[in-house]
Amino acid sequence: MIDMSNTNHCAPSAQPVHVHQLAPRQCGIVVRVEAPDSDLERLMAMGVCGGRTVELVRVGDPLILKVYGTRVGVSARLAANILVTPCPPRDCPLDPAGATP
Amino acid sequence: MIAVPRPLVALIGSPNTGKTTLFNALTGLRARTANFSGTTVELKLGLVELGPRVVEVLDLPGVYSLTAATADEQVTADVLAGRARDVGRPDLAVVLADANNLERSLFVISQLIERELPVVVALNLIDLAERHGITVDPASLARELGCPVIPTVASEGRGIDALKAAITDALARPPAERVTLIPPPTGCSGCSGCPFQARYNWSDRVSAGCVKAPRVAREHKTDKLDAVLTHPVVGVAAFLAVMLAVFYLIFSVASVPMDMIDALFASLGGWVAAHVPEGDFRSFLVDGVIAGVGGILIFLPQICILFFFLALLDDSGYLARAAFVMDRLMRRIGLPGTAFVPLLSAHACAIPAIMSTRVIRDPRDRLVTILVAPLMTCSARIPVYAMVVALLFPDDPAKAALLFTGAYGLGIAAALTMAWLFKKTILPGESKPLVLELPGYRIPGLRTALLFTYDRARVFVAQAGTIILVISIGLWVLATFPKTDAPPAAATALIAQAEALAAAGETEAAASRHAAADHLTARDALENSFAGRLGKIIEPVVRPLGFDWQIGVGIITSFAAREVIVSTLSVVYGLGADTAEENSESLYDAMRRATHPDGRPVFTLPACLSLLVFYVLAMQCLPTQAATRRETNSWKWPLFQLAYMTALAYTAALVTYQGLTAFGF
Repeated sequence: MIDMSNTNHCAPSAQPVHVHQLAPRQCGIVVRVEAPDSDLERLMAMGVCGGRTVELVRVGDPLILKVYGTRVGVSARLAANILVTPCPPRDCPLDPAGATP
Repeated sequence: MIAVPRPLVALIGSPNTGKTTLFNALTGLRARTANFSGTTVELKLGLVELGPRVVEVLDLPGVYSLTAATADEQVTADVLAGRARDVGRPDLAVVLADANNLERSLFVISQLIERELPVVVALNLIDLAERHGITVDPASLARELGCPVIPTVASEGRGIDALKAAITDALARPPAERVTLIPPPTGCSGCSGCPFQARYNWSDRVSAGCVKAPRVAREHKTDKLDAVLTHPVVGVAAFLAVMLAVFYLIFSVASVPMDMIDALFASLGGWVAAHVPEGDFRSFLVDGVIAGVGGILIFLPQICILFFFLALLDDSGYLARAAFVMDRLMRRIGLPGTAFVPLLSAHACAIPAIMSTRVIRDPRDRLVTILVAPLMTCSARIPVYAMVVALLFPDDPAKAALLFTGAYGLGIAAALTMAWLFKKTILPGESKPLVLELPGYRIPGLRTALLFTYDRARVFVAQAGTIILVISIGLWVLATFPKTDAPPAAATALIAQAEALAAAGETEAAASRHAAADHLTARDALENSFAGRLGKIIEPVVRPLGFDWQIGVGIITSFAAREVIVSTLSVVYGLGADTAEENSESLYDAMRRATHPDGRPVFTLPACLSLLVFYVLAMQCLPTQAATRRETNSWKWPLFQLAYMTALAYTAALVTYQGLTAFGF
């Protein structure tokens, strides 16, 4: 279940994918973090956990995720454990280009 | 008078919320630094006056959560539970919230409030939030959290008085009762992410009630800068340019205070020599204590400048980007991107490099970085390189430059290879995958950087300095005792000549005979000392490297500081210690003339390169060992470092000498 009290949400439109599979500057809502170890728990404590909107700011390895007001550099290996529902392109509350008024 | 124990206030917050700046604003210079016992986590305590009473503030490491998953979090959890050996249970916690990012800050704040501990929230960075059009209502936040919320701008000292008043009030109130902000989530078996999600749901709800933020991009500037600075190619180039500039500043600026320190200790030695009667005590003061203290302080300018710039770069948000872009490259040798800045810093001096490895999260990765950092060519190796290069290629700048570059390259290659090897063998395991916050860019705080530099310098002098001084005095004993009773016959003859010349009015010629006699006496004294005897004892060991006993003595006396070999060689080749600095050409001439007992010259091409390789790779630096001791909290690792580097240096020098000799050089 996705908690709708999170103000930064989009209308999820597609099947869940892993976060590194998003397009550059595309957002997604975290469905769950698979097989969390201490590194993934650190990410979850930083806000990359179920129900939060994240934006893929830079693709590659490591990649950059934006969550709440901050950016986090994450190795692609960890990103492969983060399952998200992609937001439609240009419908991303964290992205200035797609910011809805 | 009965000593009343001071109340203890713990300062907690996530990284990049301005915690250190707030700690400095509260305590100023009245802080001390140590390690939590049995750990390498730093403990910083400072005093704050709250009207008539004084409280102690403990700066806990920056953490994202209180779940005890990392060493930092473990220490924080232990302190809060009253389980830490070094400090008592805190009476109060001051926790920082980033007004720009309240949802995230509330995560750790909520964990803290759920412990039976009075909490005061410092809502920091409100100036930045205002600039972004974000307003946080402290009153409604205080209502939600059930504790005081004080808006602050730590870097400008805004809100500090109100914070102090809130601390005083909170300490006067009865102990807090346990509260539960977030009921443990139910019905989510098989999902260990649930507690995080539940806590963040709560945090979103609380934030929504007290934050007014525009629904537009907050950090356009950071996005634009990041497009360049985190680029896999351009970002690496930009980083190398930044570090090149820092190094240029280190090498151009540090030489001025270094020369001043050198001159100060030389004149202090001269003053003592003039006022203390000649004898062992004077020699102890001048050559043992003053030279030892000078040898420690000479490193300070480089340490300070490097830490100052690292602090500025860190505070600006840039250093995290540097670690990010280097991560992919560093992975190839099994180290994280955060290891790059320490390894690069080691090219100025291994001491600040080792002290700055705290940014590396994984203890094994950090230890490997500490172990290999001294293989990088630090500035103290340059005099040794210069000597060898001048011996071999006095008139060929191209070959000289090539040899210099080769020596640097050898150090880098050795460090990277050893790091890879250590990760494969004694400290196995994949390096920690990158999870690194990239904070928004901001203008770095000068005061924070200066205080950080001051703190690092103090830690180095107080904790490394004592060990270094003791061993410097030990080396002085080795080089001074047993004493030689009479000057050698040749020196006596020279003195007689000098007196005859002086009587004939030829003062200049007399002075040069006297100087020559002194050099002979000094050489004789060193040859007869323990160090000289040790040099002869180890001669069979160093002979396969192409060295004679004189170089053996040099290796022993330069154990604490590698650059000492130049002045030692000057003494053992009969030129006096001053010659090495004042007239290096005559030293090189003397070295070129030096022969083995069978008449072969000592400083052939194979022997020179063997000496160079040895000094590229050998430890030969006591201050570095002291830094390793402090940062690993054990004697095992500095000893291991000494052992492996000496073995590596010996083997490589042996291969160099024997190989080149076999090929007929």
